[in-house]
Amino acid sequence: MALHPNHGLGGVLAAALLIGAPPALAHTIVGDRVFPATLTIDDPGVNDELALPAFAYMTAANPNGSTGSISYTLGWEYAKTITADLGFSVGSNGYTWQKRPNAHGWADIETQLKYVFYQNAEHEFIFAGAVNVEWGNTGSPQSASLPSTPFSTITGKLYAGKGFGDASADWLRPFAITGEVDCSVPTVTNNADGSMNPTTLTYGATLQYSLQYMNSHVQEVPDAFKKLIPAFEAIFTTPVLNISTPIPGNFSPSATTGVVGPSVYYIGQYFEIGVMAQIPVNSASGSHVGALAVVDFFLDDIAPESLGKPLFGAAQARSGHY
Amino acid sequence: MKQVRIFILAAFACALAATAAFAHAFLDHAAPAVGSTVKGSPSELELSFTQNIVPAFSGAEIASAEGGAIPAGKASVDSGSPNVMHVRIGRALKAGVYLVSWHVVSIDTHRTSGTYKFTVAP
Repeated sequence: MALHPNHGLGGVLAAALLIGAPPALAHTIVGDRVFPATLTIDDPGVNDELALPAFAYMTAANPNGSTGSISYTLGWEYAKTITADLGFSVGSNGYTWQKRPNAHGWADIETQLKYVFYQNAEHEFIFAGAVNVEWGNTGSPQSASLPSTPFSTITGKLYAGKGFGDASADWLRPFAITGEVDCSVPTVTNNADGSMNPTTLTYGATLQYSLQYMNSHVQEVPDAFKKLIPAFEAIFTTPVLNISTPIPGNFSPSATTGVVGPSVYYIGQYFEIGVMAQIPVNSASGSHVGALAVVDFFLDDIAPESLGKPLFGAAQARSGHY
Repeated sequence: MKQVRIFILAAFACALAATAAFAHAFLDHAAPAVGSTVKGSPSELELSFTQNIVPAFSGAEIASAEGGAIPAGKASVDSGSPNVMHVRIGRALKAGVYLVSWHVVSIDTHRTSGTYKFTVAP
C-alpha cells in the first residue's frame, strides 16, 4: 500500500495493521478434537511445533479508491511446551516484499508465553491466555525501505475453543468454534512527528467443520476428504485509545480493519497445510482478495522424545476416555 | 537477523533429523463402518488406525443404544498390520443401534479415543 507522507510513524504502524491478517499458528488436541493451527487466529492450546513458512499476500487500497501496494510475506514461528499447560513461542511476520512502491524488510521478533487455564476433554473445551511481546527494532533498521516497528508492543490475549462432539445431533458433532481477543498496548504512544500509536483491540473467530472428526466418529467419508478441516474465519482490529487526529483524504485512524474468508486445513501425521482466501472487510483493510497459507510441523509427533515433549513433566493427556 | 535465520534453519534441521517419528493414532476406518447400517450381526469389530498401536493398552467396548453392555473380547492386533485392532463380539447382535467406544495407545505412547455408532438392520 502507498503510505501517505503525512502518516509518519503512526502511519507505518497503521500500515502494518492493514496488510491483512498475518498467519497465527499452532494446533492442539482436546479429547477427541483436533483444533488445527488456524490462519487468522491462534488455536487455544500449547504445543510443540514449527510453522515454516507462513505465507501472506494482500493488495492494499489507497484512500482515493485506487489499488495500493501488494505485499508478500513469509513468516515463521517455533512453539515449545515448558510444561503440559505452559508454552513459549518465538516467531515473526518475517520478510515482506512490497510492490508499488517497491520495498522490503524484516518484521520484528515476537515472543509469547501462553498458559492453558482449563480444558475439558469430554466436552472438547479449552480456555487459555497469553502475553505476547513484539520487540521493537529487532527487524530491519529504520533506514530500510520497509523498516520494522521501532518500539515494542505488549499484547494480552485470551483464547477459547469448543468442539461439539458432545452434541446429541450427529450432524453437529464435527463442528467446532475457536475465538481470540487481544489487547495490544504500544510502549511508545506519541511519535516525534505528532502522530500517535494506538492501543488496539483485535478479535477473531473460526467456525470449523472437521471431516476428520466426522470420519472417525459419525460417518466415514471418502479417503480424499478424511484429513480435511474446512473452516470460515474472521479477524478484526479496532483502535481504541491514543487515536491520531483524522487527516482529510486518508483512511480514518479509528477505522476497524479486518478480513474474513474460507479456509481449509489438511491434517497429516506430522504436519499440517492450511490455505485461506482473506477478503478485506473494507477499503482500509485491502482492495482485493488476498491469501494466507502455512506449513506447520507437529514436533510432538515428529520427535516425541526430544523436541516434541515439555521441558518439565509429562506431555498433555490428549483424551478423556482411558 | 543472521542469528534468526540460523535459528530457523537449525530448528528445521532438528525436526527433520529426529529419529523417532510417530504420531497420534486416529480411527481411519472400521468394519462395521462408522455410521453404517449392516445386515446381520457382525462377529467382530475391526478398527484401522492411522498409526500402529500397542494392543496391551488398546481396546474397544460395544453397547446398545440404551446403554446395555455387549460382551466383547480382548483386543488383538494383526502382526502384519499393527495399526488394525480386532475385537470379537461375544454374542449375536439384534437389530438396533450400537455404540462402539475405542481407546488406543500409539507406539510412541500418544493416547487417543473415540466413539461411533453403527446400525444392525432388522
